[in-house]
Amino acid sequence: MFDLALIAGLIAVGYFFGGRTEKRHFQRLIKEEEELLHIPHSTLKKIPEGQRGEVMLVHTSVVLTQDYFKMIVAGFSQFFGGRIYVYETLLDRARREALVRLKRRALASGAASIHNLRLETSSISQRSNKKQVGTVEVIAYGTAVIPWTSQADVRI
Amino acid sequence: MAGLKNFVGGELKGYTELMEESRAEALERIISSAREMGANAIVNIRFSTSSIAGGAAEIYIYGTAVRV
Repeated sequence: MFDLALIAGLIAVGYFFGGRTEKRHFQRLIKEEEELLHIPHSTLKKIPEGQRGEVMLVHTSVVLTQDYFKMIVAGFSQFFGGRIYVYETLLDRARREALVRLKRRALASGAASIHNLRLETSSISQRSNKKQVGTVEVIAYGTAVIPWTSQADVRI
Repeated sequence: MAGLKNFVGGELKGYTELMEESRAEALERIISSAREMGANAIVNIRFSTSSIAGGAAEIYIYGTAVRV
């Protein structure tokens, strides 16, 4: 009986706090993405002619975890199949956050663009015996290009 | 800490830091091994992570060492 109450409590905590955190995170992401629009990113392996400059490897990672409520929802979704919406938002948040951080890091070095961008995802499970995906890590990395005309101190 | 955070969701800052540190370490190692080969640059670098067991992860970095 106590166990049941505990689980119900955790679901409620997950629902309220997790939902609020997610909403705020999305709002912040939209704002920050707009601020960083002036740094274009691409998966091009060759830097376009007009954007050449000093190159520098930039990388960043984000570890994001799912709340208890969504973990239960995801568990139920597996009975019926189809899209697991709660995982989609988790991965979307993690990828966008990683990209925002990568751009911030590139900006700090005086870069004007990022090329050959790659995103890598891996699932980190807290308890290895559970099959549920609760925690994901997203790595973003790419080549930051610092234009030759830039006044910022150049380092490779 | 990470266990508690699991209930409410959100970013695991400690874990992010741990991964960043390990990645910096791996990057240092790839640079020193490229230097040993006599290279002065590494191109087409790739990062990858694989989870080995609960709470443990492996990070590997590979690339092409070149002399320019």
